[in-house]
Amino acid sequence: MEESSSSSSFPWELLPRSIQEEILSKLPISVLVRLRSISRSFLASIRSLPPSLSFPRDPFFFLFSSDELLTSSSSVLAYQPSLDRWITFPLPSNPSAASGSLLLLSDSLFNPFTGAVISIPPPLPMQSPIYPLYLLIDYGGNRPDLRIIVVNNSDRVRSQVYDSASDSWTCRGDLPGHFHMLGSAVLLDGLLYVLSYGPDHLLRFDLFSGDWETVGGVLPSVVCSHLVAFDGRLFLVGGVELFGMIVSIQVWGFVSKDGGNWELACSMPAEIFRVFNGSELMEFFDVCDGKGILCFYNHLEDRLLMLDLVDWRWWWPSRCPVPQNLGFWLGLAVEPNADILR
Amino acid sequence: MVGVKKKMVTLVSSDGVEFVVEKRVAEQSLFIKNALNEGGVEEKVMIPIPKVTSDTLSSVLEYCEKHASATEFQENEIEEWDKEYIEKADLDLLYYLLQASYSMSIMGLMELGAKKVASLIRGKSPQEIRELFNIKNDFTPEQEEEIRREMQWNYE
Repeated sequence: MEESSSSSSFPWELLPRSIQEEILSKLPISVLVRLRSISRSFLASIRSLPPSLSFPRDPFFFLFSSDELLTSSSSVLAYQPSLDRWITFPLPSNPSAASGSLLLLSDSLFNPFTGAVISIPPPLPMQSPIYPLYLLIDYGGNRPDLRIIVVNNSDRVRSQVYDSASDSWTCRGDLPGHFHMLGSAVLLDGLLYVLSYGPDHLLRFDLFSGDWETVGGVLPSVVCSHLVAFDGRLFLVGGVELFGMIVSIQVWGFVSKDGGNWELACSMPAEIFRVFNGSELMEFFDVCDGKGILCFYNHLEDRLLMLDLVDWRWWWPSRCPVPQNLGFWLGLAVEPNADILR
Repeated sequence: MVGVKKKMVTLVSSDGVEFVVEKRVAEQSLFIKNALNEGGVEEKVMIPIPKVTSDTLSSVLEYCEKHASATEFQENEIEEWDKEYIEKADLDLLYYLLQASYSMSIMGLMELGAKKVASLIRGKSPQEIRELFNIKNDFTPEQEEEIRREMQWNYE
């Protein structure tokens, strides 16, 4: 019988502090949270990790039905790719946007990892309904600066920005033209990129000047389109339609030279698409993303599929403990912040 | 020039075993590189490596040998080699490799070892990690419960 490993073959406590730190910094924050209960010295090492360390990415995908009747419950299921597991979180109400570790609820920001709530004053009244477009968290200063960008669109797009520094809303720029809806906003190099649906365009909003503009040439002709910003690049995910049904799913990358063009970066492999599509004709799918990981959902088949933009790896998540049947669906990705280790 | 003579240095492990290696191999260690620069290359060819036993040093030098000639290999080839190298190290050796990489200042080896240990920790429960690293749980059950309660979502 082998007994050799039982006698301190890896005396953790004797390792130099910098090696302990090197090891711990290679673990996702959610794992470190769990390791705090090992011992006092472990807790102390985790607490003293410099917040500037770059921990591995660890997004959690919170999945909701956008049908409010279906989501009256006070908790939500989240999928965590780094450990391929499902977790239930309490949630006071349905969120509309997410950034960092925060979810934007109707009148507050909610941190699902700590339960902390920050209340937000209501936006300035406008003539037609206002909806949130983007939540931005800037960790640059002593305390994180939060900004919320909301829009309304009737005859033109009107925008408002909330800034946590002044705890107030300000009206920002307008964009002439009627759009059915704006969505899928992402931040890249300090600029907000937004998709307009009906007509479909790529729009850009400058947070400092408040100016809106239309960018680039023709969008790839795809449906269910979704923008992703990752690794300094802008991507567009969408489905290729043929006679009203989706026959392929593609990822396009934006190339800014020559006024801006889209180049095909990747197509979902046919055999994966077949399983994702299932037996029904797919007219619609949903997608959300966090930290370069994409989560696709086909509500007809109640099927989820993941793609990592780092290595273009596709995978099926571990089986969800309960059927999702989300119908029309909304996914938001959040990630625990190193603050929770303190 | 007729066959440039390879510059050799002799490293002495903590248990007195001598290893004669090429200078460029030994210089994968910043500690040795600095020692050689300080002492003038020609005279100082005998370098004691305190706290690193011959078993560990032999494994460390295997790493240095490979990485000294890294330019001859494709990047993914060396990655593959690293993976196999650290995979075959048992927990004991892994510990000593990390200690040696620290005292000899070999950043790549430290990174590689740290990554391996992190992967061992990743999927384990706190109790399994205590057993793996021989750590004593010095919390009272109440304290442990309180720490867990703070982040209940993570313990499902």
